[in-house]
Amino acid sequence: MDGLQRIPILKVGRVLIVPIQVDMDDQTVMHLQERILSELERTGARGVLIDISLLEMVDSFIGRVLSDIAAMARIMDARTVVVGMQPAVAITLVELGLELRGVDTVLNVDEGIKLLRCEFDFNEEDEGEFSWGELSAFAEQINRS
Amino acid sequence: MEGITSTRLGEVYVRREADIVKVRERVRQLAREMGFDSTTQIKITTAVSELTRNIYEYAKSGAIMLAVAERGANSIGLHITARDDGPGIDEARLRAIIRGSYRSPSGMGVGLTGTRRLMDEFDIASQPDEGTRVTIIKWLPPAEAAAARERLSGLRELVTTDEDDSAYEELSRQNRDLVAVLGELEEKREQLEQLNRKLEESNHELNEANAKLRELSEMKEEFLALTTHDLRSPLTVISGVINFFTSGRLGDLTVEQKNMVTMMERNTQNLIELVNDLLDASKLESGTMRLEFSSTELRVLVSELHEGMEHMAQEKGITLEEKIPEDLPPLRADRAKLRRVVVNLLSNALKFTPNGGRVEVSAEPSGDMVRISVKDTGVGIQPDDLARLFDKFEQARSRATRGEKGTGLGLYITRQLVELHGGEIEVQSEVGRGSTFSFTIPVADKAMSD
Repeated sequence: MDGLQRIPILKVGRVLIVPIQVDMDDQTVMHLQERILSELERTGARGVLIDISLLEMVDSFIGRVLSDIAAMARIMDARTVVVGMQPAVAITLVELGLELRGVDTVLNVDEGIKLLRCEFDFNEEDEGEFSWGELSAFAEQINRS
Repeated sequence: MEGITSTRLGEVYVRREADIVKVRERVRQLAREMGFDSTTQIKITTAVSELTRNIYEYAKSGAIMLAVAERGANSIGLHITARDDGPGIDEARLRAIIRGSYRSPSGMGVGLTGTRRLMDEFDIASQPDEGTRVTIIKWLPPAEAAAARERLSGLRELVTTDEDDSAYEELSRQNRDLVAVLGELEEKREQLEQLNRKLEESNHELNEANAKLRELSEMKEEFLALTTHDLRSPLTVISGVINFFTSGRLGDLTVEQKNMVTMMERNTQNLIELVNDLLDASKLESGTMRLEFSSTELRVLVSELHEGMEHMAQEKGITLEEKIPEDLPPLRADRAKLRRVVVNLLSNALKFTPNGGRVEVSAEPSGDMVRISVKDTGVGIQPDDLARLFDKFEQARSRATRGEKGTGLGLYITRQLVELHGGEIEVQSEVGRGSTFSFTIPVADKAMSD
């Protein structure tokens, strides 16, 4: 049978970065939702950044799960940003009539990090070992891949 | 959808959740090969994803059929049909979906209506319980049509039903066969069980009938024993009274009276014998017959009988002979019962031997036993009757014995008594020539004769 596709969840500072790079089956999507929530609980992260730049299709199911993740994360005091949506996907979503309710979308990872930074007004000193610069560098790496 | 002709490319089955991804991949690839731009590719893929998900969610299995649609000379497009045998959609909802006003309670409420918006042609046919069939078409821009037409032949290879599906199909078929065989087996098992239950029932009934029969048999024996007892007492009294008459203590009888009293005496004696036989038979039957063994001299016993028997023999002119050796060892026997055996055999022999015949009693040692034989020159016994001769109430029914008196119990009792002594009885007979009954009785051991 089909094994679960593993989507990595990376913790950088107080942000979870979730790069989705393959077309996911429903089980993987549901499993991802669970893992994001348990990672939030485990790490106390304040932001979730879901990169869908490589996702070529968002149908009503994936759309709903993205909305759900955002809503659940908010209850756990974390903000969710979906980044890198392809224009064609955006067009399709609109024609489909799907609103990603409660999900903030930004153009790329950089913008996403900026948004999260503003949101929490993170202070470099408070972050300890973490630096936003590091996160930005990491984000660039992802974008290149 | 009128004026549209379709060339079927192939089908992708939807049975597992993973098939949703597979369908998306195939459709995406096909859309790309046909020359749709990337935005349209995504639209088509998304729409098919919605349809496939509906199949999986509502019907569990179905198929996505892919085809190339053509309308007129300039229109060419991707034609996709999603069909399932699921629960279907009722008319009111179907109308709402077609109008675009339907909002599904599950999902985002956009599945079918959104699909309709994403595609150029949309058609849905569904009946409750008869499954659903959704047809969608996306046309290529006219500029692309000519190029697409050239690529058509290569498209078919993209959608050929793959190995995976045929293997799965084969497995499903085998599975269905297995299930059918299992069903048959189950049916057979049930039939067997039913048969078993019936057998058990009839078994139970038989047991009950058996128990009832045994009960009846016991009741009969009891009844026989009781009535026989009650019969014997008045008979004893009658017999006693008759003795008064014959003894002359009541004065002399006239010849006529004497004849009548003799008749009474004879018949009473027959009745007493009959009652005694019945009593003995019922004792033997219930196993309450007890023997009192003692050392018994056969010569003495037979000579005691001789007087009574000789009288009967003389009446019919029968020669009665005894051939018992003087050195015959004493027997281990119940004297009264052994006497009964000998009397039974002798009186039978006399009864069935015609006038002027011959009856002989003889004895000879035979190992630890003594064999005693009673031989006559009587009518003999039919071979068919020999086997049943010693059964209860079984008086041989040969013509010659018809009319002779007897209860049919005599030989039955005789055999039982011989067997109680530990001996055996047998008979040899030839019709018209006579019969020989012989039985064995054990020799008394030393301690007994001392």
